[in-house]
Amino acid sequence: MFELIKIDWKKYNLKRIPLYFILIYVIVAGMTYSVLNLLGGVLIDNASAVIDLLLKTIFLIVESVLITTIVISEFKDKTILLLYSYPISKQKLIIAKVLLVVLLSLAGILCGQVFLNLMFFGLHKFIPDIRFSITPAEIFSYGFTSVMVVFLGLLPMCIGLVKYSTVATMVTSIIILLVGSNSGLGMDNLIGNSLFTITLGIIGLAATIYSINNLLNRDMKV
Amino acid sequence: MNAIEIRNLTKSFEGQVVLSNVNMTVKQGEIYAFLGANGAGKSTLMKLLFDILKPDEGSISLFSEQVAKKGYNRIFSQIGSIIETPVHYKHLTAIENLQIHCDYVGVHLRQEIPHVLELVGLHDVKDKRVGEFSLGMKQRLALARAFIAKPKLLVLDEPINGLDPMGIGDIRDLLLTVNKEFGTAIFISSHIISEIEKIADTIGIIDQGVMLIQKPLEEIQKGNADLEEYFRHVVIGGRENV
Repeated sequence: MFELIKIDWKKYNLKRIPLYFILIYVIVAGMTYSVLNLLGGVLIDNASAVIDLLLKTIFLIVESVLITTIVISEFKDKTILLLYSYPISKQKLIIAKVLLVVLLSLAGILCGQVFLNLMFFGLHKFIPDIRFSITPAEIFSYGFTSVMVVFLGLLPMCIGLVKYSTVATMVTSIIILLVGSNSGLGMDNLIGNSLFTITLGIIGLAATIYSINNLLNRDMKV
Repeated sequence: MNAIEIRNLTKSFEGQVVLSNVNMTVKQGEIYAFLGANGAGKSTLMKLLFDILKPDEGSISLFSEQVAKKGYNRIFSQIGSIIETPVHYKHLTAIENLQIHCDYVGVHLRQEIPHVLELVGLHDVKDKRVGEFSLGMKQRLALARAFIAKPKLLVLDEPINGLDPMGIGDIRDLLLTVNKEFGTAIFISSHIISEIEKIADTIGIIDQGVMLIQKPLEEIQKGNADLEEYFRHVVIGGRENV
């Protein structure tokens, strides 16, 4: 499995991914600072909550881009015909791809949570305008719901795999993002709600298992 | 041992039968040409060989190993293929495409890459992205990929489509060399019957999902029949009998 993941890593030239993630963190840091300046004390009053919301929404989109690149493109470009002619379990080929998407998204979102929270924890010591507080329960909640958001982010893949469509994948991701972020920056957005993310995370995971199973048992009409 | 053995294979899509009770045998070391009009069922049968499509009924064996309907088919390591169209990773160069292929089927084959690129006449463009390739170049690269492991069986779906006359000649020579030198069985479909006539040992003709005939080319030629003429005669005759 690790070998298959390594081949996909190489095939899609993903070695630049850490750089893209750092760029995302810089953008999220800038946006967090701006949001706190603009809305501080009105809608939201804590940097860690802003970081959590921004990271989750941005990485939902990043995950769908990874899905279209690593999974859907193989079907759309018919290269799956080639992969299926190899003496390798088809199940393993597909699972390796999904695992790569999940691992990259998880790494991106969790590293972002750690890096940005540490950054704003440090900044708020020197800049009194920056309000920052975090409890151990919140640390656990941010971490756990981040994992669930990554599972939720697999839902667009299940939709995209029906017709091997990159557009369907991206549109589904944007719909989830719009519903999840509730177009708001307050604490009442759905994506910050543990129950919502856990429920949809489980649904995302179940749908993925169903989708892979279905893919392996039906005709490959590419 | 036969390279391919198909028994009573039936496949339908949404109620429409595309392959009906097909029986076929490709012997080890022979070149078997699979002829049929567009939509006759050639590509469908080739996809069934690799479990890309699932049969409704019947069985497929490759070198006496039954093709598993799920999971892992070890025998695929002995088969090189082009199914339907020559597909590649367009963002990668020719050499990178072959390297990725070797990563999947056996890293030790990487040393063969320069040789196969030379063989198919792509050595000078090895560092060019495949997205910039013509159809003929993509065909050549797909053939290089199919040959690289010196497989016991080549399954080639329209491998000379898009090639110029020089290219067709090169590929014909290459197929004959691979067949003679390594004893590789070749299961090939093509619409260019004049080319098929130059290389095939056995001819199989399929029409509307029904296998009409399987015969050694020698036998067909004994009656002084031109293969194209014979093909038309068999297909028209087959349709009249339906």
